[in-house]
Amino acid sequence: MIRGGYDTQKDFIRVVHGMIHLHGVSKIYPPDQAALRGIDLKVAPGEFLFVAGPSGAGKSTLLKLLFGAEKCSHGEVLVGQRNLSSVGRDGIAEMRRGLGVIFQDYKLLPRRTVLDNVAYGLEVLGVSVRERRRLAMLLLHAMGLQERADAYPVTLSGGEQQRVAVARALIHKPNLILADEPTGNLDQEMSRRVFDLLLEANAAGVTIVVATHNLSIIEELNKRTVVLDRGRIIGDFVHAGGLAGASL
Amino acid sequence: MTGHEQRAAIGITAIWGESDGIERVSLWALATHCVRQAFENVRRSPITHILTIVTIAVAIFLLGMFSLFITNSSRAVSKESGEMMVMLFLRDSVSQADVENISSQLRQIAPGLSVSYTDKTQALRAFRETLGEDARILDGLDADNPLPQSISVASGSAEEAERLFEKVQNALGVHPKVESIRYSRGGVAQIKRMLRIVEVIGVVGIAFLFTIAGFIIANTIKLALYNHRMEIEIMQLVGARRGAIYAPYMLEGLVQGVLGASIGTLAVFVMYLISKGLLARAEVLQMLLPAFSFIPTIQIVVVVAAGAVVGVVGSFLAVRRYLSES
Repeated sequence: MIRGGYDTQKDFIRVVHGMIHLHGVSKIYPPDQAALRGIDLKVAPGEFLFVAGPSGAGKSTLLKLLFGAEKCSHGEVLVGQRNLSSVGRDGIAEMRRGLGVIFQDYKLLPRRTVLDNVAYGLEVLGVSVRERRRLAMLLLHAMGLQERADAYPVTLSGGEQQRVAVARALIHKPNLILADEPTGNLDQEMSRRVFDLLLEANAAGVTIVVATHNLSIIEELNKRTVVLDRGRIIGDFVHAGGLAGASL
Repeated sequence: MTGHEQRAAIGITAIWGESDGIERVSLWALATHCVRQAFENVRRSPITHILTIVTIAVAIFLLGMFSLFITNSSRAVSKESGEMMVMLFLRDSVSQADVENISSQLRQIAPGLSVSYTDKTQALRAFRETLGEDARILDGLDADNPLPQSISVASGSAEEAERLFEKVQNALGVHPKVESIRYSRGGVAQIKRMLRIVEVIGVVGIAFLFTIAGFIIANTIKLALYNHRMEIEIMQLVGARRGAIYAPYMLEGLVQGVLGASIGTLAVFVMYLISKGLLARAEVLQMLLPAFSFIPTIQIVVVVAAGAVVGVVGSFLAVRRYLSES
């Protein structure tokens, strides 16, 4: 029995695929700018992890390595059963089908409606129109955006766009969610709503990694937090209590 | 449990509980996505697409005009080839025995080929038939016929006639009763050789043109891809299969190729109609190309298919290059 009511073999496999293991990982951009240095990190399936640190600490680079947008310069990045340092394009694509990514800059398609943006991931995976629209609409309800389903992203506020991006990342039932400042443009109430969704997903066995420098949300949720500074891990706290007095 | 955890359950697990349908991949949905994406691509960058279609149309037009020329020239040459023969013109002093003797030698030189003798009267009659309405100019020549007697050997092809001519020249070139030996259609062989050279140059030129067209298509599609970089990035991020990323652009290339090829072929047909009209008014040209006709249907199919292939391959290369660069 896995928490959150997932008790089938298929769901168990999904959860196991949420495991993350970084071993001696460095990322150096040419000519010799080190974004990450010697990172060792294990994230268990179903864990909720904050990656904190000031701007330029390497949070976004770490996330990029985890969804295969970048390859590490040294070391190994394992997501689920895959070593992303050596896996090919098709392997990355297969891994991403079980992944939800929330970007700081939303990455919404300007010429598609909100509903189509949320459903886009399912569209390119070949899910039927009816099914993907139904699920997208349910998610928009959950995000309080049902009234904006037919609007175009350019007409939405920053916070609304952020929520559309969150909905898109969740729609395909991922086993791992990577979020880069997912509440950067949201007010407190909306931030809570987004984190409620992430917590609910986490309770269902989904591994969550959130990069943020929002200390108050880290303290409020009281989850494991890894602190980065100039590409190195300078702290790994099981509870946010360890961060007391830290300035990010 | 935090306040957040207490407030949770706003429905994500319930939504996922209802999402078994996402495990089923619908080919119809994928096809619809490809068509929709291709249509959007065209709608968003019409100038680029028109440029690509025009490039293909020009390439196909040149290919079509070349085919039209080669098809009709070859047809005309083949018609002439069927009448090729080696002619031996005889002196007036030739006797029946000499004719028998020369004919017998020719049968030995060219076993199996038709050897026929034409006397002066038959030669004049044949000449009259050739001149048709203008045969009047020959009136009065019956009594003092200047045309020589001849023996002809009909040959199958231009190459065979050429070889036969050399053999006959060697064996009978200095025969006292033979006035001269002509290879009646020697020019045809030359035309054929020229046509073959034109064919080779044409094929190389068309291949070159198609390569250029392929590059132009690849570059215009590459430009279009930069307009769609967000879609492609998101497609990659959600783990779209390679086929789902390539297919809309290849479909776009296919449509461009077929459209371009059809426009090019249509332009060739218009040129054909114009040329036919001009030929009908120019008797000399009509004699050269008595049965001027359009490219055979199978060639049209091949030409349109070539356009489609150029479009698809150009798109494929552009997407592959874009993805490897990104």
